Amino acid sequence: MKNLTIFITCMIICLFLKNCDNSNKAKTYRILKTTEKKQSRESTFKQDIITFDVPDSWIQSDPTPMRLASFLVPYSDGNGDLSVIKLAGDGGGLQANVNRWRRQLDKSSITLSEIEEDIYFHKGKLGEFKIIEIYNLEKDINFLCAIISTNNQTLFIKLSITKLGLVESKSDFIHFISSIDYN
Amino acid sequence: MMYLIIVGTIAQKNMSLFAVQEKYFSSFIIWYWYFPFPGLRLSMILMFFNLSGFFINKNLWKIKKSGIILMHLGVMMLLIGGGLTGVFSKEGSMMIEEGKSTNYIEDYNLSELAIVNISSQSYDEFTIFGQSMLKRDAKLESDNFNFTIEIENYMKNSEVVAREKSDNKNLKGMMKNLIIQEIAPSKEEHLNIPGVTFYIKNTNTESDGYYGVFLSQSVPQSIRINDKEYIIILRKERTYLPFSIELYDFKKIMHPGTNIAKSYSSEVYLNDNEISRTTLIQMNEPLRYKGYTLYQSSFIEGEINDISVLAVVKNYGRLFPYISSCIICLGLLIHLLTKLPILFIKERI
Repeated sequence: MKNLTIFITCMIICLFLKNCDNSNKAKTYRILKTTEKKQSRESTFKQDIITFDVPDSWIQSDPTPMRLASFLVPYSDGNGDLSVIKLAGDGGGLQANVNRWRRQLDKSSITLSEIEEDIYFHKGKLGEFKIIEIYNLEKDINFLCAIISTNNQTLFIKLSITKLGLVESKSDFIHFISSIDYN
Repeated sequence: MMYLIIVGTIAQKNMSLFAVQEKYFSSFIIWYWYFPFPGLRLSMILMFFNLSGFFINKNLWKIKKSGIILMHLGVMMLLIGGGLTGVFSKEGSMMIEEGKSTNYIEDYNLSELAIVNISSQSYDEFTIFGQSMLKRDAKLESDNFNFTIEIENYMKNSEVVAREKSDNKNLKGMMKNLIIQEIAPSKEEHLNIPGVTFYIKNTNTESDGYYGVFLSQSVPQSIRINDKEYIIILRKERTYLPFSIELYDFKKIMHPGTNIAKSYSSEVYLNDNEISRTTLIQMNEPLRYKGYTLYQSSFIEGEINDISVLAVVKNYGRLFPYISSCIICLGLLIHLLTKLPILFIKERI
């Protein structure tokens, strides 16, 4: 009789523990919509005094005081982050900015001549612009950067993305940079 | 139990810590081919009952055995605390960007499939299926939607590759161009990218077909069924908190001349209907509120705004080890004191 009591107590406790696990039931809840702006699918995005053609797949984020524009750049295995920043004059110069990006990727600074060896050029609506690729293959975080210099200001565009994303998004990136223009 | 600890420790050579914990320490039964072996949970329950059986002995209830009784009670409390922690505790991470607010934590390891009805102007309706429900051939249904999701496969780790040729699965969404295929789980749990492939059935619309989603997918899968729009996301399991945390400012101090953080802290605004206050969370100084403990864990450096990463733990059995240790010590002391006179008498003889 005593053993039977112990056995029944064991069974009750086991059943209790089993029923505590409610992971096999669907949960439902509602969340009030926020006032965040919905994703814009317009092909041309206007901000400040410049315009650019945005690839359909890119998702616009809210601009910040520093960023003229931000985009999520989706690719087959995730998404990258693209920022557009405008600085007065030459914005500190090519070497300082490239080395700043390199430091963000834990890479040492290099000389101006070494930087110029890796730069290549494309033509867009605002004339010739520079493209720089910086890789950190260990962390798989890479920057695809563009610098557009005009008379009195410089635009810095940086896409932070994995190697796979960089390969998939490169043509869209160059198309986007080429389309940048003033109103 | 010793066997489980040894085997579990050796298994960490090839498996992630979470996978080992799930297989050996959070399981009731471990299957070696067709042979069952008790997991740590079952072992602990058996141990608890074994200790409980000790109290049935009528000869035990004497003053001179009070030390032994207390020791057994202490060990039983330790097991109860472990059980409560194993069943009810929650832990995860909370990522907050400067100037923004969050009211949920994301589990480190578990995923969930969220079906979100975004048709309403005022709210989004979430239906969540936990990872344990995402089994092969499982049928997921809910009163919130009038279709059936039939799971084809849930992958602990997956990769997305281009689809070279179409097949007869009535491919929908990104599956028209891509394949989500299973790969061996990584030893580093955070490197695993879970994925799930499934059929949507019984919509009686064009939306019936074969879909797939994976963790951290940048553009979620959306479907439209009879004027209702749903999005389907595979994400880390979320636990909503009864309060929200807004990050005012994140500060980090680096070791001079290096990129290594010396210390970092988050000035946060704890927003609750009952009590709202500003507080500082820093290394070794967590915020404790409503049973939750929020530790400064890490940070993500942004170009403009930093993101603070907090580790959040709710452990119902938190006090049990302290209380049971005290009871065991007291039991040992009483037992020693009751046995001391006998030792002295033996020495005199």
